[in-house]
Amino acid sequence: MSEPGKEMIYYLDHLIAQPGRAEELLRFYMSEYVPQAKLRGLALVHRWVTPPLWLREQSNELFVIWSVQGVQAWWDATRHRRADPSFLGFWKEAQPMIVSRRRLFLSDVDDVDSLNNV
Amino acid sequence: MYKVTRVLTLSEGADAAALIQDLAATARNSRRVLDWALAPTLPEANAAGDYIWRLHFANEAGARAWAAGDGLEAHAIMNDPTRVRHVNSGGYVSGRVGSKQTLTRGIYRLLFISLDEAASATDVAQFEYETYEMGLYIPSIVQWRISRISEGSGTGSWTHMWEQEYENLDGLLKTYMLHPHHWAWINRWYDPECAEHIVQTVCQSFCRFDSNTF
Repeated sequence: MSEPGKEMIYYLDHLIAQPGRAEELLRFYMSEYVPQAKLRGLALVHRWVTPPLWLREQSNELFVIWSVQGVQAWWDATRHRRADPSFLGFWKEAQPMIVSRRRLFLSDVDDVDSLNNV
Repeated sequence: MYKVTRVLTLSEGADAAALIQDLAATARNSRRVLDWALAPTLPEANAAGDYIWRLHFANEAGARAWAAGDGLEAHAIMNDPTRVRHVNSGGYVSGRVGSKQTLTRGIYRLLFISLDEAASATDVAQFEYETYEMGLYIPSIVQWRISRISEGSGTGSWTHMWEQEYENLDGLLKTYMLHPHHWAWINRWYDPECAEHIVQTVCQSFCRFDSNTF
């Protein structure tokens, strides 16, 4: 359980890549998205892929996890992201490599009570 | 109940006291206006505009009759560039309302929302439901209402009006902003980086109120 206001907030980018394009998508994400996101206060925590081989004929799924500490830091990063058109430009350029994507915001279950006690 | 809610930005050098008195007279003197409130916006957190003007009518026909009669003077005032620089306006049948108690004073906050016209009916319905649901989860929201705007104008093509009442400013600026239903859940409709994004434009403002006009 974290100190109130210091809970770790996670972003999960769940990307289903076009068949055979997951490695290319990840490279593009790492080169074009990651540096900007780090500048906006996000810390890259994990890059996961399933299955753990680069499929040629089917879709890999990528799970990229980011973190910020505290809800205020989440809002700060969000405001920075929304003010910077390069983030939307990234997703537009990446779209041909993506079947579908979803972004989720998560926390440790032990922090749920603290996060709701506002 | 049909409501017309406006956020007014005054022109530089406009006589605010005279303008408010003149606008209020157009509501006070009309039998079409069932209730009204006109209050200065609060300076915190970039509330839009200088005044929030809320008018309540029995129905849309009543609002139209007011606009064609006593409201003509209000229309002239709001279209006088020496007095009013900008107006965001929405007319709407009162939508789904939630209430934990009735407040006679507190903070009234509004959000004009413009949804992407390409959004599916399913997504719009889910957005409306989750917006309503905020009041159920966020303890500081005391009364709340999500409505579909039938006639809007201003900086966006307004489709929805999201209104809330709070006991105090902390309820809005702290509890509402920090609650996970806001940032971790409903935010995805507003965030251009989320696949669910459908909110194109918003305009938020808030003011104090000292009578029950919700």
